[in-house]
Amino acid sequence: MADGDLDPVIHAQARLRIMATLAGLPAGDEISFPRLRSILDFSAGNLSTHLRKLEEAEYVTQTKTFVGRTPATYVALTPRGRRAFETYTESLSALLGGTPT
Amino acid sequence: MARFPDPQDEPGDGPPEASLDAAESLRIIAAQRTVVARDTTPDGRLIFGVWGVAWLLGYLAMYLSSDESHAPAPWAGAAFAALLASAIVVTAVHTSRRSAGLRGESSRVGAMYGTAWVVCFVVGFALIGRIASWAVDVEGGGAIITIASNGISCLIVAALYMAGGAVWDDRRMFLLGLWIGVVVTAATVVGTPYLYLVMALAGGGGFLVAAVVEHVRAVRDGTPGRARTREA
Repeated sequence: MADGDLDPVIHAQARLRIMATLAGLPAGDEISFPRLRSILDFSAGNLSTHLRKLEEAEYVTQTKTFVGRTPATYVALTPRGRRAFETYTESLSALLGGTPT
Repeated sequence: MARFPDPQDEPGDGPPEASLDAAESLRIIAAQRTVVARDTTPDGRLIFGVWGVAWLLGYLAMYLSSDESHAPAPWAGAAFAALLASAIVVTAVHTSRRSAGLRGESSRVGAMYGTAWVVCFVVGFALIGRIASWAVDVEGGGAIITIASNGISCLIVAALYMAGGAVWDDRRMFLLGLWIGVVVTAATVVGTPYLYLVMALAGGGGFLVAAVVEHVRAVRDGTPGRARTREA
């Protein structure tokens, strides 16, 4: 297996960190945009850009809702995104030939 | 390991992506999982620690201030109540901060579990109030009230810790509930005034041991408490 076989949507530092964060939450959970931003320490614009790409690949969903009168966006991994992330991590381990650092 | 550019990053998408190799990617995943676990789940060291201190000092004050009729001094009762109230506030504020911005299945489970605590204690206090109103006129009624109020309250704590351990498949939480059940049984059997001493040392001590175990686990897993103080 070559490096180039890694899922290019996930294999970029910012999106990898987003995917790892969402995969670290229990399945079926959603996280608000500001909380996700605070955990990742991203700018709002940067996070939006990368979330849009992940959404285009159908790896994440962004749900717009209201908490009281305040608009809020909740982000979650889709089942497809969770599978893609698992495949990605398995590919990494395979690339390293079972000798993780 | 060869580095390569990220083909998904077109110009205009913000700052260019650093290229990654496989080992670096795995390291990022592991680090991010650690951060998520640390930031979104309650810190057992803090929760068990505040309850351990509250029980140890509160019950010890009740024991040391007890007179010949086994009645603790009013100041000890007030101090114990203040310690328990502080532990409740710390627990509620800490868990709500850690779960801020999260919703879904685990939030619903958490809300139901929190509601179970409130409902059980409302029932418990109603029961204790009725028992106290009868026992107050009975010879040796003070001991009845002490044993009933301590036993009912701690039965709820033991039961809900074991239930929480079962819900989240958390062996440590389950064992802590089991231990509290054993301690409360012993305290109920020995009665006043040694009930307070048993609860202080074995009960409060049990929480403190649990806090130390959590700390050892956190250090081993590389998830020491967050240094950042920024709130969610």
